[in-house]
Amino acid sequence: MSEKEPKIIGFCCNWCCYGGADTAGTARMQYPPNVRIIRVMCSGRINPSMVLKAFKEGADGVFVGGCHIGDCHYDAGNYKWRRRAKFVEDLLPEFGIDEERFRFEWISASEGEKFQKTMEEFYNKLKGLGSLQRSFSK
Amino acid sequence: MKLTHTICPSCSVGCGINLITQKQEAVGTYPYKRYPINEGKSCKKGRECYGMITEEKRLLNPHIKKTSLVGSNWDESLNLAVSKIKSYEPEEIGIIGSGNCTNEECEILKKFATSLGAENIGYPAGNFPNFDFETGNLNDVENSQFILITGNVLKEYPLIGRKIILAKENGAEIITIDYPQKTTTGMISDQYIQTESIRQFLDDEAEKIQTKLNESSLILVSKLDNKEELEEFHQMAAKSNSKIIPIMKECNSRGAMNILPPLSEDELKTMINGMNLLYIVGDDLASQLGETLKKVDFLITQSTTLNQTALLSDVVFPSACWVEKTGSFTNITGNTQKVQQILPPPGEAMDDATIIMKIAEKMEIDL
Amino acid sequence: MDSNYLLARAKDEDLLKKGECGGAVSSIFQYLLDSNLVDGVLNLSHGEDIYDGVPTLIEDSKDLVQTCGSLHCAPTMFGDLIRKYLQDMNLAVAVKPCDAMAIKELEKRHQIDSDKIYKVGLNCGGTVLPITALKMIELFYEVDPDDVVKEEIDKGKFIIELADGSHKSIEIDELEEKGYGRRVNCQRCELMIPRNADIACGNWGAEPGWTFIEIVTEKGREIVENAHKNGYLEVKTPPEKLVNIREKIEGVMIKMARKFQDKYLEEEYPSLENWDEYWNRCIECYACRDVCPLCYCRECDLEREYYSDSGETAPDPLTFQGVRLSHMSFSCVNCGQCEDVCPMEIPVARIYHRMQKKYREQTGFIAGMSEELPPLFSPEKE
Repeated sequence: MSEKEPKIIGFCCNWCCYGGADTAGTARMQYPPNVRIIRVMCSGRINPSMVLKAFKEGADGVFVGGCHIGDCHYDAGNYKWRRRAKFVEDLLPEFGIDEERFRFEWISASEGEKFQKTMEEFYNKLKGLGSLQRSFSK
Repeated sequence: MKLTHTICPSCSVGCGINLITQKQEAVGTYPYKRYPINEGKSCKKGRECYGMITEEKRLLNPHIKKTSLVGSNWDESLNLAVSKIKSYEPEEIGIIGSGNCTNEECEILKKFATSLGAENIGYPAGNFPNFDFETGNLNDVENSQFILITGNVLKEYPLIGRKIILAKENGAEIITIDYPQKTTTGMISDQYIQTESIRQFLDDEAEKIQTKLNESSLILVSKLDNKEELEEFHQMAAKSNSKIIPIMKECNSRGAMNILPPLSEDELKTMINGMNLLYIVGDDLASQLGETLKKVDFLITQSTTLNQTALLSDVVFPSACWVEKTGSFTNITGNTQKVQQILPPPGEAMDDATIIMKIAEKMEIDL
Repeated sequence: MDSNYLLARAKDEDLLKKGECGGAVSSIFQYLLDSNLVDGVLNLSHGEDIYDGVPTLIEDSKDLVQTCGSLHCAPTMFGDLIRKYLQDMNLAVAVKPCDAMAIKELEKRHQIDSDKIYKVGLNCGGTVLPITALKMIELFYEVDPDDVVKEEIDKGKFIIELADGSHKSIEIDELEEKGYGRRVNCQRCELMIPRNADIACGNWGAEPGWTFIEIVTEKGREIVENAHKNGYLEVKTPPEKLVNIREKIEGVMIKMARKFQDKYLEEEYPSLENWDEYWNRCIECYACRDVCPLCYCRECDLEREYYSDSGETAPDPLTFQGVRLSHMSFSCVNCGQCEDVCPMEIPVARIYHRMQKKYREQTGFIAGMSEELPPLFSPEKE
């Protein structure tokens, strides 16, 4: 992959979104190969520090996918994540990171197409934004 | 719970801290915002300095070496130390103080050496020599228009670092010299000069810098490779009417320097190599000169903890921490600050001055 | 005592004379100690001078006189002192609004036992850093700070009293425009009357020589009533006029605070470039974390290998302040301690206060005031 291609870290919940990515894969739906997926047991497992760490390590965009509201395998994990996600959106601009570089979505295991579409959209968005230029440099 | 003002013993800046004690034990520190030097701000070392008091390896009673180091009592250990000191000629005895000792302790140690006739005395001073030129004060740092720095002052002496930041906010130009590719102090400087040695800087770049120096400039010397280099920085300052502050390591380096001869690592090695008995007060010399110390016949140490030097010693006397005694420290800008006793020394430990006096008494030396 | 408002003063002659506004607060402490309802009282006493406020634990009511009088140049924080060292005792504590806010957040997190603590609130219009006070007294009042015997903040002025009984005063606005006066976080603070304590005491709306007390909780009512019944406190009902005056002062100050919030958190908020310059100074000394009353974790994420940057230069702000912000900024009470103790002069409290405000707008959660925990980690399905 060329240097200019956006690097995306995708945290996907084991029960839904990861399944969605699998469904997209099995059905040979094409989506940008720029996303590196990290499987987590629940979107409720994600905390803002993980998103920050991803950006620090050079991600141009961070995606989080969980089960649809009401479908959480652990009852309320995605509610918790939703509250944290809002907080992440508030926090990122404080460090000069456009909140559009961060996206979260509810995708079920059967929604391969939604996964494909979301990745394409996010990829295009990031492509448009260009690679993340952080002003803090060591 | 009680809060008491004291001076931080972690470095030579001389910050004020509040020590928190509870049931005669040190439990923490609290910002001392009224103190002009640091205004309640402390570095990590400063905030955690109470750990020296509660340290697990604190020595509670005298130790002597049999096959290994074992607990002893004051009588036995003092008698052993004294009989050994008596058995050597003064020329065979080396006495080493520390920049962590109070001014009063340095004085007593010096008196003891003089009375004994031992001329081999000093304290480990790294690469800093004795000097008697006038130094700037901390407000000078803040008010300077140009600051030349050697070493990573922001990290190593953060509360002087703060004054550099304040100067920078007032528009001062900062130039830093150091070895690593990048340092925090370098990052906030207008220019960072990476050099292989201070010598190289003095030879190659100093002349250029000299043109920038004037009466509103300051030179902060926290890193030297050799004693002689300080004089060259002093000359740079003198020629341009700039101020200069050498930043030494220990809380009383500047005070000890006026009483005991400062010794570099090489000088220490040379001195120790010629000695049969060594009497070390307050310094963990073995951490840097372990092998050299092993060659000494008999080693007497006064230490607060069972450190590497204590482990090598034949007699170890347990001594008091800075808040367990009363005395004074002189900070880098020549400001002598009193420290008051807040806690009793633990176990049978005593302050360094008292221990020196006890040895003197047994030797029938009048101090 | 039907009303929540009353005027009170000490019966004890010494406290009446030496205490602030008739010594009502000291008398309540005296009552609590004498009746063994508490084992200790945490308050401030003078250290070397009036600019040196030292947190002091009083265990004998005879010593209360040490803590008489108010200090405005003592920006202390009691929350973490109580959590760390005074957990085991039944305690009464004199709290500024920010102390009360910190204590409230710690109570919700079971770090301070609310059953063991009486919070006697003190109205606060802000504090001045001691060294700032010394400098400004020399510079603007042209007085040797050592000659000042008392200082006071009243009616928008910082007033000093000299040994000969004379006063000098300057508008705080004027001092603050020149970078002196109250700490900037105090300028932004909108809680002047600590209604998050058991009672709130102060001189606003009080007659001279009396303390105006607002009773907030049942516990607060009990101690005031009993201090009165047991002969420690003289009380009377304030005329409505005074209640209104007090309300008016509070209203004006809140309005001013909001203006300062706009100024410091929006209009003059540091640009990203400024922040980068600030972050580049960071020496990773953890002073901000260690002083923060809300950072009480035994094991801190910041010291985990995967977030820490080893090296000679400043840590990446995303995984240093960023991680800390994501852990507690929603609960930040804007006490300003982090900024006070930062050796590198980074205006840390600003970003925390700004994030708390954003969070407040989204969720309605007000750190230090709301009864519940911040909703971020709540199990509710909402």
